[in-house]
Amino acid sequence: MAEIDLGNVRARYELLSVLDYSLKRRVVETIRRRAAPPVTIDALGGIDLEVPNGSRLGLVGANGAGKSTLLAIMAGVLPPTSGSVKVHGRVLALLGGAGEGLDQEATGRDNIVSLGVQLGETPAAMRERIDDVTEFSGLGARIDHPVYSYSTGMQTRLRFSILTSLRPDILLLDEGLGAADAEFAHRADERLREFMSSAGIVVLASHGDALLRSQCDTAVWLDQGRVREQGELDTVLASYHASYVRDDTANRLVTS
Amino acid sequence: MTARSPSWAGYAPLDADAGVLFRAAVSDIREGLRRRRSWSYLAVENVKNRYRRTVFGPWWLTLQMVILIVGISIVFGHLLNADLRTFLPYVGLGYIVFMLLSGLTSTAAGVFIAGSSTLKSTRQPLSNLVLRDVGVEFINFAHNMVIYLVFLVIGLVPLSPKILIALPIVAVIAANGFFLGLWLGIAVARFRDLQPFITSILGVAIFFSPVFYNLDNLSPGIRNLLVWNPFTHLIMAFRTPLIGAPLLPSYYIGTAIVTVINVAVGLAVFARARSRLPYWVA
Repeated sequence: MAEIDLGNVRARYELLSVLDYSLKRRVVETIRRRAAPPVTIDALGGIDLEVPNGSRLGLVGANGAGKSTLLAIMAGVLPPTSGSVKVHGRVLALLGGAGEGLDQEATGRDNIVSLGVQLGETPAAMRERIDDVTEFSGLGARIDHPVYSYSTGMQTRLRFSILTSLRPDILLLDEGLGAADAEFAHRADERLREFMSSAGIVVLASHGDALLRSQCDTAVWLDQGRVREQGELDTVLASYHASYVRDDTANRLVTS
Repeated sequence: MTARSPSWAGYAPLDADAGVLFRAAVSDIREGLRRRRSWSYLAVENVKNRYRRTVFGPWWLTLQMVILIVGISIVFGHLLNADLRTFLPYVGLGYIVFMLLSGLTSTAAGVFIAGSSTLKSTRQPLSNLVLRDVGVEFINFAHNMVIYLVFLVIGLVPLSPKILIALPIVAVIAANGFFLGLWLGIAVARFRDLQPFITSILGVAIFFSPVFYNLDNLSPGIRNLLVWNPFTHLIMAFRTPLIGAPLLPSYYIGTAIVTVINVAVGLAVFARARSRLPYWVA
């Protein structure tokens, strides 16, 4: 049984500039009693969210609304500043840039094993999966080339193929498959559906309505780190789109 | 099926109380140690990848070390008027263990900066990253220890039961490397200017460590200064039984003190800052 339960989750980033990362400056400022607390950004300002088994949840919202932060917290790679995070089931997440978490110097084949091993699998279990992952990724002979020689789309394909081969209960996707080509997107779509039918949870953050409609049935609209609306995908998308059209008209009325 | 084993808590919220943060840190370490097949595999892969396009692989490092040890022994042995047969293994083993300590320190400093992409995208115990780096340093060390075997075979060092004392010391050095990564790795992730600082300290550390010279030949003033260098105790504790020199309890007391402080600082910093780390490397 997969389940995600978030209670009053907050995430506050401190805006650390290059100077804030300097110990020398910290010491000098402490001596001069000039230490000013860094500027903070509330990426998430108190999120309560229950994602039950079988959910296909879309996350929508403007850039900086907190979608990626929320996914990172669900994925367990970022702790909340405060609040409770309960996740049942194995979570795997395709977060960050295309090559995030891949060893660029190593071959695709080696990355299949080492990424799986980092996610808690044994090397032997991952070696058995190499052929399946290679086939699904469609990388063919390129699997024996170092990952730095891959295009962005190829790196995404490799990561997606590795993660889904591990049969997660919960799959988190940030902007879907980004640069993957149409042919791969089609196969990935099939794998996602197959994965959905065996229960589990998919959470997908995206700006693409078509992608959201193909993968999700419910949605959460994040606005400045808070849940603005939650419900059926179409309803939420409609309100989300209406909001900026309305804002836009309002702005035009003001300026004219 | 579920990867979230109940023993592993993952991250605690930043505002959790000290007890919760400490338990989360301990469970991270425990889960890391439990995944020994994971980090040992990753350590071996790392070494293999680093030497992929070379013929000798990590033996190349060992060869470089042989050249250095022989060269230094000849020059310093002549200057210090020492007998090469005793001086060569003294410098050799001193240099091998110094390079291990120095390597452990510099990878410990960079562990979370180098692993930032991994820790932001892949949920795993942070201790796993440190253990992998410690593993890499020990793979290199194991290659270099072949030089010691050569010393044994050609009779430059004695084969006696006393050499077994070095084994637990190697384990103690490994533990020190691990706890150093837990606190120094986090400190460098927060204060980036520490890294060049550590690099420059390591650059001169060899002159303040008993690698080329014997502690007994130093004036008491300098000797008292070297006591404050943690490397001094670890080098003496490791090398002395292997070269058959008289064992002094002070080496082992010093090693114990260094280890206790390092473990305590490691646990304290790791418990306090572990949850903040992903925000600092973001």
